[in-house]
Amino acid sequence: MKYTIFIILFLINTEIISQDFSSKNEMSKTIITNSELKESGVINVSDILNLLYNWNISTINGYSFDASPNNLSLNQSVIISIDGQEIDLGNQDFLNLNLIPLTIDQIDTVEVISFPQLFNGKFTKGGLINFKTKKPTKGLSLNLFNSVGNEVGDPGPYFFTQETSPNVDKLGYLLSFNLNTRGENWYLRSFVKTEENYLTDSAIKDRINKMGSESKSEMLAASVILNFSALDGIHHFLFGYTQDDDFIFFKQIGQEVPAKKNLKHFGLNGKFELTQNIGLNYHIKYADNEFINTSSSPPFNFLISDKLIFTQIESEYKNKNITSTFGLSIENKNITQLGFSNRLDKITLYSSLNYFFTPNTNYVIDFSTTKQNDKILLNGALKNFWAITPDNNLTLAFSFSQNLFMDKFAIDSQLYSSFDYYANNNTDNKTNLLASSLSFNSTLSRKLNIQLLGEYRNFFNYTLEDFNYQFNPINENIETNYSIKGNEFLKILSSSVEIEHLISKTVTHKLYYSYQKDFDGSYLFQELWKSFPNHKFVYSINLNFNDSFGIWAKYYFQSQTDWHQYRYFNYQSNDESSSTVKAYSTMDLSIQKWLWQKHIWLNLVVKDILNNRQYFHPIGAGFDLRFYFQIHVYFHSILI
Amino acid sequence: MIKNTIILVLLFYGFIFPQSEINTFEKSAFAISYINSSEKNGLEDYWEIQNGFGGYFQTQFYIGEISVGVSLFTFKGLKGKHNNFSSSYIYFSWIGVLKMPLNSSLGAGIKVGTYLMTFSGDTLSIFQKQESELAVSPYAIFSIQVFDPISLNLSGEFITVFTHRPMKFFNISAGVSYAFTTPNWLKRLFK
Repeated sequence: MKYTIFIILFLINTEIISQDFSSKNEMSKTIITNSELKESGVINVSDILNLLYNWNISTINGYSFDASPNNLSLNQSVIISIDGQEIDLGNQDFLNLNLIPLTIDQIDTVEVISFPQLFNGKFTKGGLINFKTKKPTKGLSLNLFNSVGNEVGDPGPYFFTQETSPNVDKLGYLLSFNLNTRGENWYLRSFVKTEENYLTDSAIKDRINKMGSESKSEMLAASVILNFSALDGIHHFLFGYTQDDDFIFFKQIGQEVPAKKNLKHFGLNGKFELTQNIGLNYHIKYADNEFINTSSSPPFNFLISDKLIFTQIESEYKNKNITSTFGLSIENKNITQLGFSNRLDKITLYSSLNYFFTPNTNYVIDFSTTKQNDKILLNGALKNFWAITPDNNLTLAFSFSQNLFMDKFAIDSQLYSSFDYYANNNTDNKTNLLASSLSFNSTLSRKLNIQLLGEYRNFFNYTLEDFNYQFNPINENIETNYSIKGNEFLKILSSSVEIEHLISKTVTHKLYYSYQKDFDGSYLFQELWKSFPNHKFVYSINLNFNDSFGIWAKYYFQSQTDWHQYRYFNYQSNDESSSTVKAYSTMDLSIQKWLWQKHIWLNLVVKDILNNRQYFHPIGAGFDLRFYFQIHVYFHSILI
Repeated sequence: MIKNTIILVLLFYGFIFPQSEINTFEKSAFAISYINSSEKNGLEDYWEIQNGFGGYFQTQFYIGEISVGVSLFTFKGLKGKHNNFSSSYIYFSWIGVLKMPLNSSLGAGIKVGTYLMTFSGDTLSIFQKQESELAVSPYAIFSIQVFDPISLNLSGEFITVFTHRPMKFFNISAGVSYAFTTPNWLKRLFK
């Protein structure tokens, strides 16, 4: 049945034409430049998620996020890559983008895909973030980056009086250094960073301290990038290493577990130009990730080793009107947990056709099929662009995607053996999503850009995890009832408007509003979806007095969310905890200044100027006014 | 309320009559001042604030003027119950300046910085001896040039330190400043 729908959509779609390909924001693809990252006060890599207004994010600790792109999934399944090489960050916890071995001064652009489609042979079912690194200047260059942050609310001198209150330590510390060199046909980047975060909020601190751990996380990361031209092609080698001593939030037990992650990545991708029209792309990767419990009083023990070998080959044909690709990838993952091993094999065939039907119309057709163990997964996307006039364009897109539930939870499944859980046998553990999107983009007199978007999602034959957290008022522990349920479904409609206006050469401002609502679905799916806000409103203004000094400010509002998993918390905790996260608004400010002929860049960031105590998650930390300071030092083209 | 209104009006005038781009970083000044401070939010029940000193460096900016500075205060524990402590308010500020007759000027601006506190006491651990917190203070300043390059300054500011129970101070200060043409090496650093 689902395949029939897919084919019908394909046929319908080929009758519709539609666009403008030179636009910076293609269909559900957002490009964020380095200067945009800097001016908006991004410090940690994970802060980038705060700029993706069509993503639903929540955080417990303030630096790891649960991210759902553009209503594409309930759980996060975002692909993270650096220069086109997927980085396996381990998905057991919330998405901690800070684990990638980069800092923002290394990033040239961030490509964000919020609609299912093929990207470098990967089907982006749950969105994708690709970090494109900078190409160094000729000769030798080096950068330094340092940042510190603090949250208000320390007791100050009242600590020595009867009016004392808990101490609030600094929020984080980040120091990085990189050394780069570039020749005629090659460049080399080497990078190291160290990062510390302090979990001082009593909500988290109490849970962690019960496990006999200090409430501080530490990270060390390094990377080497070598880019070179040889054999009529361009080749890109990436080595990345991250060691993270942190607190991983396990949904299965509803709390943090002190754990260490060691992530190693060796990857080589590149392209050979066989003829003027034909190219051959390749990608080879080896990743070795370790995940170790470091708690002195653990709820369960684990030492997981996850080794992955990935190979991909792709042919590409290009002419004036057509770009087509055809590729094959093979992935072998070997997971061992305390001596027991589990093997996951995936073979994927994919193809993409990008056809310029007329100078102002364009089709893109993506298709991929994956054989994973004994199951076949199908994915496809159809996009139509139509430039109605040079300033107005229309985009229509459909996609169908399938996931294996246990794919995402492959490592978790090893841990599940420590728990009793109930799996509904009526499910084949697949998740299916049909997504469509209609977008109208209009530019008026080059000073005003308006984008209107309407989207539809249909999740069907979906497998869901059902967590039922219980708060024990006697020992203040969280206890979990956990089950897996199949045949769940949900239908959603959403719309958004984004208006960007150039007031003058120095002042631009942007307004964003979105509304989403489910209108049909199974009880569990509908309840779980309430953890996403119905309304979001963002207003930002950017004042660039010149290329050396700028001020950026943002106002953000999101409506109330309800967290089904914590539905008994109000009653069980005598209203000290709640399953509802109230509507909140924040106002952030970022002031930046270049010094010494652009050798030094300073940035002061103040978050939540209104100083409203905010909660982003029912059992997460509360945040007050906080401020950060960062300094970047650049020395380019020395010793040429 | 009245002082906040005055400061807002002066800030507005600072934006209306900004420095032109050509003057950016042209002139700079050093200043020192004597500060009379009073606490306004309950800290006076435990400590008595002593008079303090301050100093800052100021230069012309794209709009108005910017400065970095430090103000130093000491707090004396009352009735011997509480240990003395000292504080350093290290700040960055922006000010809008309105030129007035007789080589005088009126300015209003805002300081943002960190309020560092050092507590005395042999029994305190290293972590207990030091504390820092965000502080913000709107301020207004009247300045009159007595002879080139010396000016007399009189200013008032309202500091809020964002501790769990906020500390609030009202300061009046008097001092002198020395103006000079910004050296080229410093201008290169600022640009």
